Amino acid sequence: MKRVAMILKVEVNLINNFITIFSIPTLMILPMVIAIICFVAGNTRLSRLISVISSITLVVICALQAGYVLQQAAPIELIIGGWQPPLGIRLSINEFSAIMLLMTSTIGLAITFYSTQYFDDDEKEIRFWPLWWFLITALNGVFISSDIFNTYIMLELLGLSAVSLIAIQGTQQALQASFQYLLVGLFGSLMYLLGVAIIYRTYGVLDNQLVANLVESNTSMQLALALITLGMMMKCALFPLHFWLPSAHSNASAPVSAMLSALVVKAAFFILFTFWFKILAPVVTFTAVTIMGIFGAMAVIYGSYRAFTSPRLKQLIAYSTVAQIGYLFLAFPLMFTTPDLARTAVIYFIVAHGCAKAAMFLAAGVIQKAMGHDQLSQLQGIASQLPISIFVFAVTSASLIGLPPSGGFIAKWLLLNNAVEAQQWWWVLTLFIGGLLASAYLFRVLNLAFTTPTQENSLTVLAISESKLLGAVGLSIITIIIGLNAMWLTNLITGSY
Amino acid sequence: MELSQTNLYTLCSILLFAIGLLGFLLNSDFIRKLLGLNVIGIAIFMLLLAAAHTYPDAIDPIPHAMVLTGIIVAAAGTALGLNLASKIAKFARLVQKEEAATQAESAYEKSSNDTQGRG
Repeated sequence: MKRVAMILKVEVNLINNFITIFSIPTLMILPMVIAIICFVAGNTRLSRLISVISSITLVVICALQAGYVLQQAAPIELIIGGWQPPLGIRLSINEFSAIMLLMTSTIGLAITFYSTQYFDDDEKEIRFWPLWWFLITALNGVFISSDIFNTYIMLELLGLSAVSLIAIQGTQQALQASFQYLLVGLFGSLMYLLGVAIIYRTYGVLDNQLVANLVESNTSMQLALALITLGMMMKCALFPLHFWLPSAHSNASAPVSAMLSALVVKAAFFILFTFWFKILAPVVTFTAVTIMGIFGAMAVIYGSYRAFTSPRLKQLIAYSTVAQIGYLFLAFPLMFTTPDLARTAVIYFIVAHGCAKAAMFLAAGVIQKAMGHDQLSQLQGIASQLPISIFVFAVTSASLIGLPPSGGFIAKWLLLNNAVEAQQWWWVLTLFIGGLLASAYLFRVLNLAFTTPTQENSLTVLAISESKLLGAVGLSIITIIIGLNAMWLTNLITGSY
Repeated sequence: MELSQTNLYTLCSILLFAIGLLGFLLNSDFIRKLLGLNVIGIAIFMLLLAAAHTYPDAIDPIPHAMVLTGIIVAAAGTALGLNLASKIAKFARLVQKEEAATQAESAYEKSSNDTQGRG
C-alpha cells in the first residue's frame, strides 16, 4: 500500500515537472517539427498518421496544463535560454491562454480527423498538412507569448499560413479572397508593429508584465493603443472592418474555414483583450470601451442581417461569425465595471462559439461535397440524405442562438447577467435582437433541410460517407456538456484569477 | 525641439509612413498596394532604428534585432503576395482569352451567315 502511494507520488511529481518545464516548448516544437516532416515527406498517408497521433498528444498536454493552471491558480512560465527580461523572452500560460490552448488542440484534433478523409485531390492534401501545422504552431505561439514583439512574429506566421491555406483551394474566388486577406493581414500587423515601436520608444521594454508596470496614460500610449486596436480590429473582423471575412471564410475548403472562424479570429481578439485590460489598462477610458461596445452591437445586428439574406450556406455561416465576434466586444464596456464576471463571460463565449462554429463549418463542408454546391435554395430535404450533418448543424445552431442547455445559452446568460449587474442594461437589447436574428437565419436553413422536396427539384446527392464528422459530433456534444456543467466551469475559471 | 539625428529620423519615418499609407489606400493595383505596404514597413523600421539611439555613447541593439526579424517577415509576406497576384493575373488572362475566342467565333459565324445569305 505504502509503495503504491509512493509510486503515485513520484508519478504526480514527474507530471508536475513535465508541465512546468517541458510542456511549453513542446507546444511550439511539436507542431513545427510535424509541419517540417509533412513538408519534406510529401506523402499523404504518413502525414495523416503523424498528424492524428500528434493532435492527440497535444490535447493530452494541453489538458494537463489547463488542469494545472486552473487548480494551482498560478501561471506556468518559461524564460527562454535563461535570459531574464527585459533582454530575454518570457513565455507564460495563464488561465485565459490555458483554456484557449485546450480549445485549439481539441478543435484541432476534430478538424485533423476530418481532413484525413476530406480531400479528393492528393496534391492539395500534400500542401495542406505542412501549412496546417504551421497554423497550429502560430496559434499556440500567440497564446503563450508574453512579449509584445514575439506576439507580432506569431501573428505574422498565423496570417501567412492562413492566407496560404485559403489559396490552396485554387479557384479564382479563393485566390482573390486570399489576396485581400493577405493585404488586410499585413496592414493589420504593421499597425500592431507601429504600436509596439511606440511603446518600445517610450519605455524601452517589450515584456508584457514590464510594460504593464511602467505604463501611464499619456498621448503616445493612447496612440499606441489606437493603432494596435485598429490592427487587431481588422484581423478579427469587427464591424465596420469585417469586409474581407465573408469571402475569405466561405471560399476556403471546409477544414480551413472551420479553423479560421473558430480560432484564427479569436487569436486576434485574445491579443486585443490582453492589451486593453492587462498591458495598457491605465490608458483605457470609459468612452473607449463604450465605442468598442457600440461597434460590437452594430456587428451583431449587421452580421445577422447579412447572414439572413445570404444565398449560400457557407457565406451564411461566415456572416454569422461576424455577428458572434460582435458579442465578444459587448463585454468590453462591462469589463470596465465588473471585470471578473465579464472575463468569465468572454472566455466562456469564446469556447462555446469556437466549438459550435467549427462543427457547423465541418457539417457544411459535407453538405457542400454531397450536393456539389452550397446554394441554400436547393437544400430542400437534405436531412433525409445526410442525417448526421444536419444533426450537427441543428445542435450547433441551438448553441449559436443561445437555446438551453447549450454552451451558447450559458455564455449569453453570463453576458446578460453581467450587463444588469454593471447597470448597463441597454446591452441586453442587443443580446435579444441578436438571438432573434440568429434563430431566424439558422431556422431558415433547418426549415429547408426538413422540407420534402417537390417532384421537379428532387435532390441529386452524391453517396458520401459521413464518418469523417466524428470529430464534429464530438464538438457539438462538447457544446452541450459545457452548458450542463456551467456552474463547475465558471467557478473554476473565476477561482483562478 | 532641436533637430537631432533621432528627431530627423523620426520625422523621415513619419513622412515615409504617410507616403506608404496613401500608396496603399489610393491605388487599386495589386503590386502598388504591396509596395505601399512595404513602404509602411520601412517607415516603422526607421522609427525603431531612431529609437535605438537613446544614449549618447551607446546604441541599443534590441531595435536592430527587431528590424532584422521584421525585414524577413516583410520579405516573406511580399513574396506570398506577388505569387498570389501573378496567379490571379493568370486567371484574368485566361478569362480574357476565352472572351476574345468567343468574340472571334461569333464574328466568324456572323460573316459566314452573311456570305450564305448573299449566296
